[in-house]
Amino acid sequence: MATGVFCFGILAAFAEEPTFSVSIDKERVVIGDAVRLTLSLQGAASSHSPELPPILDFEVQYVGASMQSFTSVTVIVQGKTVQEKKSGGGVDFEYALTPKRVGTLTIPRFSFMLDGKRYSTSEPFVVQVVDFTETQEELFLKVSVDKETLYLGESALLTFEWYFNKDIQDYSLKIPWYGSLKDFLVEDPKPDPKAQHAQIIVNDKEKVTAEKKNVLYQGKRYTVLSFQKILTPIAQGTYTLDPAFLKAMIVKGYEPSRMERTPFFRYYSDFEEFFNRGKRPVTEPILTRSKPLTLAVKPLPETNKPAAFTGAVGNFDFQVTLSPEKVQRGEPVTVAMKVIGSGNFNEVQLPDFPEPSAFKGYTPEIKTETSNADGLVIGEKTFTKVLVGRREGKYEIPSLSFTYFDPTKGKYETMTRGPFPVEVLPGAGGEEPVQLASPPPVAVRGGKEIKVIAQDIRYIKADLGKLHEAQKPLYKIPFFWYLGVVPLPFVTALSFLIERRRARFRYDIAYARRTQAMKKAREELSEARRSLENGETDSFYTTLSKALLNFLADKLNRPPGGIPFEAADLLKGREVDEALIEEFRYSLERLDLAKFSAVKGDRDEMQKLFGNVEKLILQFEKVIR
Amino acid sequence: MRRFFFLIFFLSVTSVFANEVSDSFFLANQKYSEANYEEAIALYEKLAQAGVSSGPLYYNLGNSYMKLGRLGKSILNYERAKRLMGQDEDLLANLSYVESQLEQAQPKEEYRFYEIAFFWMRDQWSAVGWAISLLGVFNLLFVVLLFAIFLEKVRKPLFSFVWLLVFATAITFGFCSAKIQATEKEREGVIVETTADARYSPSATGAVAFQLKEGIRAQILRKEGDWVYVRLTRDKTGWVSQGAIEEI
Repeated sequence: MATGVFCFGILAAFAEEPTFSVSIDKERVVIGDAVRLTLSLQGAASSHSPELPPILDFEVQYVGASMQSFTSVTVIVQGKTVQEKKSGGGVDFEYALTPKRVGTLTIPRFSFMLDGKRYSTSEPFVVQVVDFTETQEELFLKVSVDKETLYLGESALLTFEWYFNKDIQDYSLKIPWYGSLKDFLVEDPKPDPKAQHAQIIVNDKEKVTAEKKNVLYQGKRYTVLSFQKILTPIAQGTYTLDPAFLKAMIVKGYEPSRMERTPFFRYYSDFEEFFNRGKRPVTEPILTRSKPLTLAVKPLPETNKPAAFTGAVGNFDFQVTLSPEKVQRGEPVTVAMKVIGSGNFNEVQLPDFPEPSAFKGYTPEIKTETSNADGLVIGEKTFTKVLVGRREGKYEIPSLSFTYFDPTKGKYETMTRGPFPVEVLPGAGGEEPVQLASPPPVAVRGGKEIKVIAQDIRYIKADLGKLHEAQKPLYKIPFFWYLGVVPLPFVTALSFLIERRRARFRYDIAYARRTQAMKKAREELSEARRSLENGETDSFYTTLSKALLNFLADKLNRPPGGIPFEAADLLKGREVDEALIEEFRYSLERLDLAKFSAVKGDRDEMQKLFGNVEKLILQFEKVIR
Repeated sequence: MRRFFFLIFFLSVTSVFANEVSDSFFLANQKYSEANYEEAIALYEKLAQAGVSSGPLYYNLGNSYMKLGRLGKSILNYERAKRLMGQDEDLLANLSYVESQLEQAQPKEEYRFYEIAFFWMRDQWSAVGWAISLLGVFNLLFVVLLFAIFLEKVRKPLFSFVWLLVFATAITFGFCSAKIQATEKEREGVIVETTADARYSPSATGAVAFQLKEGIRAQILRKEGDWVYVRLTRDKTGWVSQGAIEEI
């Protein structure tokens, strides 16, 4: 906390040269803490730090340099505000000055060299170095335990309390045993939700939630911060908990402001607290320590130690309930074993439970509920075991025992409950309970059903059986999909096309005639050729003529009789080449001439005509669509 | 002649292998009957590693692990056997017996009613069954089309039937692909360690979501490094270290 900034003009060698100022952050310091001294260089930057001369009663350590970015700064020099203008940035060099003794110490004027120039400070600083004063009044620590002598496994409640009745500004709390109790099981009791809480820092690093309350102690009002731990020793011996140690700055009062010095404010002292806010406190370093604490851990007595003892130490009650007492076969019976009381529940274990052969037992369900009351861990631990009756009849669940060590009496106690009668009635309708693992019931005529006495797995197989070869599943083989997807759709598509063609033949006569014209013409042409070869001249001309005319009639979808008269026009309409039409006309004339007159050509002539007609037909086939 | 020799050679090699396998199996059974389960397991495992895939082998292996109280390994091997001889009564009896001994109950997925219907239908047939059905319906569609093409008189009623078949093909296609997906992608594993921590991230520092006990079955979703991402139900997934789970 800065107690004041004192600025001194720097005697620089040249007036226009960079200026320096020196300041310290506090005038009052607790022994062990350091005063921070800052050397500010303005208007110039220096690459290296100035070395301070040794100062009597202080240890000087260079902390580091930081750049200034502001261009103007306001400083207060002995109550007067001075605005200093600076043209550019500068550097602050910081030093830690640790006082070596208590008292009023002086940092004298000193000078140092920087960049070849000598600078001197103008006035000395006076620093008050104070020591901690030990107190047990305004601030004190209490560490207590509910019992100082324990049995192994017996829990004790440790309470740490920090009393204070003044404001505290800075503190350092050391609890040497905190977090390092190796021979104890340390647990946190459940916090009281109604209490106020505050966080305290222990051993400079651990945050501990403490309960905060106001108490009256020896006629004075105190604020108490406290926390508790449940300690359960796991090794015998004598343990000393070293004193806890607290250093703090307590606020003794506040410096009066100028306004408060007037009689009015002195009169209305009730305003004091209100006006204290934001004012500079007057603090006093204080230290306090708690008394050391000794814990003696005794071993459990070996004499009369029951064999059934598992380590439960405390004060317990043992309750066992079995319900229902009558069940149908296959129905569950619940055995609830409850250990109630105060003590170390971690060591409370399930009593030995011999399972009757007529029942199938299931792994017990374990439930623990604990709370704190008057520094004791109280609670209950319940073991719930479910038994399912397998055979009908009257049975007895044998008695159950729970053994613990009572530290108040200093001896072992065994509590026994039971035995418990239980009756298993035949199941509804006399059926066997449904159990997947059991073989199906076999009814024996005239007798009782076969009963399953015990269950185990069935025996191994003697024969290795069929060896399976890793094979690709069918759906991973592409050919399978190909075979399934391609052929039938292909056949269907083909059939569809054929059927459509057939239908067209049936309904579209022009199409049917056009498509079949060539086929018919071929037949007639070959007939004509036969006539030619046989020398049947009349037949040749007639057939050849018919071939040509029928072909054109089919192609143009006209009756054959009209073709000689209308063919030329029709062909022209279909944009057939003029030369081809001329050729047709000529061939037709020649045919007519030969058919109806005696002028018959010789064999060569006939051959040539046949060739012409054949060529014509082929050309028409190409041209007429 | 040369081909004949080759054939003889091939046959003799396979039969020697088969003999060795059955000898080894016999020896392992002997060890089992002497209650020397550890050695029996070693022999059975050796056979399984050599690629011998047989229902009784995995069944016996499951028995041996059961005798040693290793329920996870036992279930794993019974499940493997189930895939080879799913109808075997002894196997089903032992599997349900082991399951009754488990410490932790297998969590049940709460399915919505349409999911139940869908999964029920999907699991009616195997993937191969669905594939054959798909091709069957598809080809029937074309047979009916062929009839429709050639029989003009019944064309109209047949065409409505064709639409029905198109619909059936689409449905079958859906189930077929779902089943193939399930067969190929959905891998199941069994927890083989006493306890396995299922974590939120694939690292030992990941927060533990829940603990799985030996014998619990889980769907294996993916692997990353030494970690396996498993799913038990819609709201229970986590990363389990590779050694803790074995794929069936």
